[in-house]
Amino acid sequence: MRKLAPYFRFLVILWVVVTVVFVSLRLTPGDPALLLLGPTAGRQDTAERLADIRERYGLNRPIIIQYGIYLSDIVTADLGKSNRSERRVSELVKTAAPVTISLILLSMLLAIPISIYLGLTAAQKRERPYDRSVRTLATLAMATPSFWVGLLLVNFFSIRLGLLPPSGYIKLFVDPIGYFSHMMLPVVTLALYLIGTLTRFVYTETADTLEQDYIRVSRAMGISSKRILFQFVARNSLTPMIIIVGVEVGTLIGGAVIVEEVFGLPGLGRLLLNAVLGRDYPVVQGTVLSITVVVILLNILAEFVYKLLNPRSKI
Amino acid sequence: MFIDKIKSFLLTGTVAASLTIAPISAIADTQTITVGLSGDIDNFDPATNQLISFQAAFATTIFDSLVGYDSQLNIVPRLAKSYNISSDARIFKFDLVDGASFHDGSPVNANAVISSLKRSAELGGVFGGPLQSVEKFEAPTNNTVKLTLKSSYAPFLTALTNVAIIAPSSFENAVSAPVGSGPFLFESWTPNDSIILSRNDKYWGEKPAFSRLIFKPIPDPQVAMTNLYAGAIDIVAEPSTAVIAQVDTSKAQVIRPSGSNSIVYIEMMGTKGTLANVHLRRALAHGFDRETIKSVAYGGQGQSEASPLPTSSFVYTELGGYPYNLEKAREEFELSGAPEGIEIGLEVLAGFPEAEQMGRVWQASLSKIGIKLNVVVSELSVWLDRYVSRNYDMTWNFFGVSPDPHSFFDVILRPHLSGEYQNQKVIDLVKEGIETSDNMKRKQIYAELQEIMVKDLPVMAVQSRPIASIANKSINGLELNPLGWPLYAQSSKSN
Repeated sequence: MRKLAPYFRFLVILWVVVTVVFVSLRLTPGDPALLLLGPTAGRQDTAERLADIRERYGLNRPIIIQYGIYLSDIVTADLGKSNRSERRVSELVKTAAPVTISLILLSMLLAIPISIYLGLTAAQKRERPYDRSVRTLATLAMATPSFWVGLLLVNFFSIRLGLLPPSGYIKLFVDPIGYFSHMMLPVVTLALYLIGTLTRFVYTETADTLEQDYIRVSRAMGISSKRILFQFVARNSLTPMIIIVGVEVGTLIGGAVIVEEVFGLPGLGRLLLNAVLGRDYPVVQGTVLSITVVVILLNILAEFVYKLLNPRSKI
Repeated sequence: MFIDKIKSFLLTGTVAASLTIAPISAIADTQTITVGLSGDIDNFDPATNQLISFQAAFATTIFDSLVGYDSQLNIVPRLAKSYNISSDARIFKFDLVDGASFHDGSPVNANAVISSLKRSAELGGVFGGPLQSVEKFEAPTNNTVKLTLKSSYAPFLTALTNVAIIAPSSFENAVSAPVGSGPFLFESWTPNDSIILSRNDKYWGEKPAFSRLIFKPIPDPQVAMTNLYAGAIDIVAEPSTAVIAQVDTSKAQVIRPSGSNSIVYIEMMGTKGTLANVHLRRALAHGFDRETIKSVAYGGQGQSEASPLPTSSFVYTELGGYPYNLEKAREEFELSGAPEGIEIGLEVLAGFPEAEQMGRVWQASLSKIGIKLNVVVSELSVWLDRYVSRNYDMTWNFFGVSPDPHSFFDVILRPHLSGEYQNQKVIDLVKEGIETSDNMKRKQIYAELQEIMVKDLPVMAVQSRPIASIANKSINGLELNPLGWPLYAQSSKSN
């Protein structure tokens, strides 16, 4: 029974997310049928068309029935069709997901080594100008709005230098060079925030570890400080980072919405944002559900890896 | 040593990264024109998508209509090479161009055109609505379409400019795969990324000078402009008023139409009934400082007139209106009997900063006569909810008035006429206006209607909206009509 608990928890979280999204969408003002017709939807001669739309997308049914249909569709792995484009939600998510996954994965690949290096070295040079600069810059990176950073990067690298494209997306397998050149600015923009957060985390953990007795002993034994830092300290202070990275995925998806908007990337964030603005219920529900599943799975994976590396933990 | 390893790793990474950098080359391609749109399009059915941005992008590219507009909004033949209208504006006969075909290869003949028109009539709405007045659809020959209306309808030809003709085979899938007969054919749509059209090499008319037309949704105006300056797009189709004023003309060109038929209105009669008293509406109008609003909100551009019709309309009448005068505003306010300190809400749509600026200027003036104006900015879905149910004190709105004056009375005024603005005289005049085919008589009718509009103020005209497209200097021959539709097919791109 205890072994089944994590699965049960997983299902409960999913159910809560699905229900909260369903209910909050219906509580938000704005009628999807009106949005489809525009400002002339109020005319008497469009009343019939409005009724057609409501009927076609099941918007005229009682909320509880809509909810029941939605839940039963999820169980049969059917995310439904967009109210606007009539495309299958699963197809829309499938097209948009690789963009967001690339963006997040590349940002992590860029941010993690940099944060580790900066965090470790700053902690070692505590209270020296290097440490203060790193910490200040890390805070700045966390506090600077991605939207602004993005525009600044475009201004410099695309307009001034003409080196990198300011927007758009090319699939990796279609044109790898085009893919990387299009992803570079968005990845740097998103990674900057992550570098800020992770550097501060690594710094705090390392500073704590450096105070431990075994480090003092190692120093007394004459082991070089570089070796102490990158072999002994790193191992202890970096393991908790796995959990943090898992948690940060959720935050990064939030950041991806903004970055995708600035760089015109057709990812999940943009799909979700436009669906919310257009009150495209099935797309919002389907996208949130997919993101939730991925985030939960990643967090479970992070916990698993952490346990593997640190068998004594009680997470 | 470890640090050295990390250093060398980072260095290698940088070198590898810099090798992947490819210079931007999109602009060098003179066969592709890329346009930034303010939002994505997800419904490509011209009979059901009534959004202005959809019309502006596709009415003259993917689709053809029987008649269309030139850059001055004159009605010109398109799929109908000629037409004949009976003197009572009841029978409309169209001779179709020879050799036109839809993008699926099927011929554009009388039967196909009639099926498409009937479908539009069935779907109704603003575009298809006028077709519901057709009593008989006939095809006397394979190339002639004859439409007999139930009664005279003078604006019918103008109404047909908005009715796209689509291939009968595409009726079912028009939302996602439109098939028209225009100079470009629909190739693909990737949500939130691009809409790709390619040249219709079998187009019956003059073929475009370039082979691909790509639309990219870029909602943020600042991002759109950075993309334009960087050369990733060639044209920003619908820049906001503030953006037009900030264009760096050393890098890009601003393309304006000969005039603007896009008029900004304040609709003053909602179901809340706050402004039911005409004196209160007049007080608000006298407190509306047109000069300041024009210079603050619209950068000094556009024409600020009392008439709700554009100055280019053949029935336009110059009227005195309500000059900015707080004394008179106070007098009218007192006549209205409304309490001192009354709160009035003004609904404004987000994404139009000029509308909010207008509201702020108005707010400051009205506060001097004891009226508290609350400017409420809402996103589209919320604004639309209130607009359609008319659940407001007053609302900002704008509309592209077609060359026939009826379009204002049909689209903007009609909901009020069946609601809070009860005026039989106006209803009769509007009916007379559409049933009269003689232009001199129509002029008189619409002159009277304009006078009543200004006197009663169910809707107050603010001014014409400055409309433009912003294009890179490599774009040639692009023109906009006064509705703000860029005529893409006639443009070209040089190196």
